[in-house]
Amino acid sequence: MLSWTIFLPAIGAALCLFAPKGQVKRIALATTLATFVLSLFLLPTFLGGVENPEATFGTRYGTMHFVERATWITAESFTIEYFVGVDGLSFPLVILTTLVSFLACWASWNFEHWKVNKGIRTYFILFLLLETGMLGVFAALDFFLFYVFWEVMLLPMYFLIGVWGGPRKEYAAIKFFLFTLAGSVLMLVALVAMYFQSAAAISAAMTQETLRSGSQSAGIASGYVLGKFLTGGTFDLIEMATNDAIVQHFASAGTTFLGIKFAPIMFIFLFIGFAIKLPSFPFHTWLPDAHVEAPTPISMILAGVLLKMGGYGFLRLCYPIFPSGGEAWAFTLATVGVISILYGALCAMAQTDFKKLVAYSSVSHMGYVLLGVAIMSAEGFQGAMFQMLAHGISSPMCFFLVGVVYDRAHHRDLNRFGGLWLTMPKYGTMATIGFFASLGLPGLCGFIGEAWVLIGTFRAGARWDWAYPMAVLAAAGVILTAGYILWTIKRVYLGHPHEDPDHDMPEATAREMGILAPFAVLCIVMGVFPSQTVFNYCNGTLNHILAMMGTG
Amino acid sequence: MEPVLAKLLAASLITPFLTFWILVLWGPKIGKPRAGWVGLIGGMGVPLALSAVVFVTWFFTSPEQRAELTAAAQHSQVLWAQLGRFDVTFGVKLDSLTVAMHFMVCFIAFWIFFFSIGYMSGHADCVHHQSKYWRFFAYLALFAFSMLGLVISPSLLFLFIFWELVGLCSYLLIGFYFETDYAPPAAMKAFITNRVGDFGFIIGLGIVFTFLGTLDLEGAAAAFKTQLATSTGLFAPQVTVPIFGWTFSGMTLATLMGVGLFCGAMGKSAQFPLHVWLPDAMAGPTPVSALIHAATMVAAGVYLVARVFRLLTPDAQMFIAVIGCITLTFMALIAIVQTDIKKCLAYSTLSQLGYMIFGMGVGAWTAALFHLITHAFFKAMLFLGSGQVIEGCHHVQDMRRMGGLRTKMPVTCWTFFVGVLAIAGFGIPGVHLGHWKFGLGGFFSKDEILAVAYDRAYNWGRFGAPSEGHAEAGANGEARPANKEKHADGGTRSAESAAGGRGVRLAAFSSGSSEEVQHSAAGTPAQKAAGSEKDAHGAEGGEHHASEKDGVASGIQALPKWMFWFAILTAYVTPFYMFRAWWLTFMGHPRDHHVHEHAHESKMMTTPLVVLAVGTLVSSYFLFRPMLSHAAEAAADAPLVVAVDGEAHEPAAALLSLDHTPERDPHKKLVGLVGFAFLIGFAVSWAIYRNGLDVASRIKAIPPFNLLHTLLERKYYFDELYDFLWVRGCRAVAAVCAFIDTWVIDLVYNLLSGVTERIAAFSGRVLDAQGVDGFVNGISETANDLAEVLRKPQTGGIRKYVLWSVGLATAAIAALIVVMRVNGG
Repeated sequence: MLSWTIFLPAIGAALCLFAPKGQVKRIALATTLATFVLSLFLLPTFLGGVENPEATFGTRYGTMHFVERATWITAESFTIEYFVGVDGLSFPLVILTTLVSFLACWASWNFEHWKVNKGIRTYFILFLLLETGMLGVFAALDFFLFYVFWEVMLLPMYFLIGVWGGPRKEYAAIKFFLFTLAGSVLMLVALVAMYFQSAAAISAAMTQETLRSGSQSAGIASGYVLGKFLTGGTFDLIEMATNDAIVQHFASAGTTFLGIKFAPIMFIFLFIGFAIKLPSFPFHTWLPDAHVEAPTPISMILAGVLLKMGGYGFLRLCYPIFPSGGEAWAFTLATVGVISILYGALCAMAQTDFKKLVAYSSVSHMGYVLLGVAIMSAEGFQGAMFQMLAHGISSPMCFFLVGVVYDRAHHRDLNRFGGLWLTMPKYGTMATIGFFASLGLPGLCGFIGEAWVLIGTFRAGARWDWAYPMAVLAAAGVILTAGYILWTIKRVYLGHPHEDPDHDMPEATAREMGILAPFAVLCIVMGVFPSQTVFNYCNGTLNHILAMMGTG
Repeated sequence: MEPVLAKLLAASLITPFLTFWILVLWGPKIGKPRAGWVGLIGGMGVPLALSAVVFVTWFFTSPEQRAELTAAAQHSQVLWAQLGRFDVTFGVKLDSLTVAMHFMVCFIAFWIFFFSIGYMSGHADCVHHQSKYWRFFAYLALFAFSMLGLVISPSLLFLFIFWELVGLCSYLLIGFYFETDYAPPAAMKAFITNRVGDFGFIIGLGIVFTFLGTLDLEGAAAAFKTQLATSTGLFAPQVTVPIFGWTFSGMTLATLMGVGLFCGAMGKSAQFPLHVWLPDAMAGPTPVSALIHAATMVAAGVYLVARVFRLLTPDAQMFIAVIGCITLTFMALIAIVQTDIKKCLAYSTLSQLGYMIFGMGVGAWTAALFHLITHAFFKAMLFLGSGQVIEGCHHVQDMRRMGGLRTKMPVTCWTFFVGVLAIAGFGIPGVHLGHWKFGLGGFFSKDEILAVAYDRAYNWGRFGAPSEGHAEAGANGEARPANKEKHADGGTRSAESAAGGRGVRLAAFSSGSSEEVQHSAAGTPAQKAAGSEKDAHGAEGGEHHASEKDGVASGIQALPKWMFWFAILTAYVTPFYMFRAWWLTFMGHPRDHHVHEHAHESKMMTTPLVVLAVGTLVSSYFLFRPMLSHAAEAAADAPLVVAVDGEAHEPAAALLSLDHTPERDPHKKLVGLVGFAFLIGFAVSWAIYRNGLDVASRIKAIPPFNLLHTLLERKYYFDELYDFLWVRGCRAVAAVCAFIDTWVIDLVYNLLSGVTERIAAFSGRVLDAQGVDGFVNGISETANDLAEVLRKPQTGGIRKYVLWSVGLATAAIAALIVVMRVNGG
């Protein structure tokens, strides 16, 4: 069923290829809706997480549901599997992806009014392929498969920005592509290195067993138990995190890469790959450009889902497989996280382009995710996870809010707006919810993640002295955030309406309200019921990861 | 009946919340007059009914039953979320303080909602064909929900959550006239200034959670006490918290925690130096100013301090006292020169909030909260009175254009007068019938704060006995040697007054430099008599607690005397500026006939005025004071700081009671010092302002006064300073960051890509020419084909750019794989 969820958009894309042009957007919307509904069937499994955590989350990391596993590519020395499954880490993100994709697809329905409105068929095909790529990234448990989906998602995004974007779309698209590619290269290096080192680990363990028992067959048998692969290493992400032989080999000081200790260098390779995606300072500069140029629905996807892949990558790859790496880099990561929070907020404050402001606010918000994972504690992980999901709701909403006014005014200059609360009261209400959620107002979704991360950072002071000043600095971020968001609200929504003879500002349409309403409801529900909406589904898995790192 | 009361309090949140959503979703359909009534009934009527039931029940519940109910409510909390490995629970904090505050908020809010219907009816609320009438009541309902939630919150986290929500309501309501030029900046200023305070609050929360291991108020207080006694956790010797070169540990860390939490209160209660937002907040509709920016929300800071009182240290408490003292004095002075009636009241509110915070700082826990409640009554009424004036005069707020309104608005005029008397501290000292004294609420509450301040400043030596016996119980282990002379003096005096009953306990500890004395004192018949005076409850734990409290007191410095005198000075300033406002508005001759002609009163608005005036006259002392006394028993049982009961009618175990010996009775002293301040203020303001501002303008032309006047009129230039320092400073830093982003970070990346392109072009040509590496070419071809798709929207240069970048990356990867094969395989 998970595979159906992943590939349903691809099937929809194939349908779009042959459908009459007028039907394309209907098919696309139906496909994304069907995918969303299908993904909801994953929910019942995780609902039992409170009453019976063992059944849902297992007793250790690696308890997956909806697992589908088949050999995909076998070569002389390696096997690549089609291996997908969801646990508490990926499940909420899968739901987020299908939901945001659906709403973004609906947001694309005014395609005919776009400046670049050619190629509607190609647009929706790429859009659906993108969704398949994103779902694949969250579901893949084989590193190679993960990498493939990672790249699959990259290409449609490149074209979606590069073809249907704004005036500087080429620059933005290429920048996005190259940044991500640079990260991919590092990830690929890590992939290959990890493969060979896991092979080394298993063969060493087999040799040891053979020597100990004196029989080669016993050694081979132990190889089966240990690695399931006799002739080489593994791409299995769960295996790499839970197989004792591999874990010990990866963490051992004797294992090196280019003469450097293996765990820290691999950790940082993967980390940079994901930090670019997150994006964190100083790898963030692609984001404002990409957002400013991308069409509204693509911005929604970009902010809502793509950025989460960075955070997901930390939690799926970096920490479970290289916990000692996390330990070694904690200070650096936390510093980068805090800089992202403050620097992102300050940059946002200086913007006059509405969309660029929201883009920089993403940098600031995702800084909390980085800080949360960096401190390696339960509060931090929970906070980071919640922040990802909360941002996955609030930032697409904010981008859509920007898109709504852009469609009417055809500019995004903050200083040329005003009084939209008067001319568009319903839209104004939605905007208030969206931006206050982004501001981190308690009762809305943005608060929980920030609060958990901040409090967790204070607690981390017991381990690392540097965590206290970090917490203080990160807490100062709440002032800056309030500053730029309220200033924006003031400039756009309050004050006199600007009398613009060319463009009147009619109230939001039913479609626009239909897209905003689910976001607004989720902003509130997630803020009021954080357990029922997020924590119940992911805490179990997060605790397992923490237990493996020995920092429960 | 056990869980019922807590459930009723919890239920009081439901209808305001539902009302808010009903008004948000269907407000325009409900229409203009009806939306107001929906807001009144759903938003406050139902909660008031529930609250009244709780209040009355609680009033007639015995202390033992109350304790049981409190414990039951504490144990019936529900799990909300997990914070790390800790459970965060939500429930209801059911104690006397909650009940009193809840009822006060409901009662005052109900009448302000009522007033609002009248106030908004004559309002031109339709802008751009959008009626904002229903919005107003929706916001009020949301505020009711948030404020009541804040009052019943059992944990610091929920206090913080509702804290921010009331801040949001404040923001929305200050910015209610958002189409104007002045309201949006004022709203923004309020929210951001509060966030600055919340920054400190978050740090406080972080320290509480990190070291006390819980955010629950009771749990945190218990942990604090245990950790202090056992030198663990917060007070563990090995714990150090280095922040930017400062190292906090033990007592300094606890102080940082207390000050951090207090920062939140500084924001919300607009204490110096975060006071700047409150005067601007007057941009909101006047009922909002009455409800949020005078009676309830701004007092939340005081409520917070009361709630975290048990977590304070002597230094934190002194910090609170200093901040309160500065605020109460300097804000009162600004009020003298205000000509806008609402601004004048706003500065008066600041000053009175300063009194409350000062009260908390000097340990007058009960008195400060008592002042909070009396102030809420009379200040709400004063603001509503000003609202009636403003509405009646068609939105003229300038007192220079008023005058003579008593004929047009008699009810407003005389209720306002009652309010002015109350804030001025009107009372006839010495006239009393048992405990029933003659005076208005403000007189008693302020008198109590000042009495405690006096005791802390002048009588404190008797508590500060540096003896071995107390050093253990004493706060930080090292009891600060108090004034030796005072000590001796106090000792003898207390000994003298031993027979008086109340002095006995103090005698035991002030003169108790040796244990002998202590023992002998404890054994005297007088002591026993003192014990029997109290009710059964107090007698049991009373002595034990008292000894503990005296020990704590001995570790705390006396109050610097200037702080007491600042408060006394302000007690003279307050009546003056309040009577000034009254004279200018209602008395004298009409200065603007246009305004005067239109002036009128309306029933919807005068009814609440009368109700609140009656409330000011009678209710507060008898209803709330005993309940607060009872609340103090548990809520002020602090291990490090003392709460001093200014009246000590029902001495609670957790409080030190004032010495009522004839020659040192602070109340008697205060009669001489400020007992007739209200008369003097009345007379002086009559002399200057009875006929408008002519006399005043002559006075302010005289050299030293003109400079002073300018200084006060510009509010000590805080707005200018902050604008320069924070607003401009922040924007400058932001601009620098944006510059760095574009011209440093991005430049590096662009340079990098440029260089890569060159290298790629070079190596590509070489490889091409030689035709050695088919692999790379193959990839290039593929990329080329891909790029064909992009041909139309893209330029050739960029295509090449992609092509070579992809090629180079692929080559690098291929090389790496080969290297890895050799190394790893």
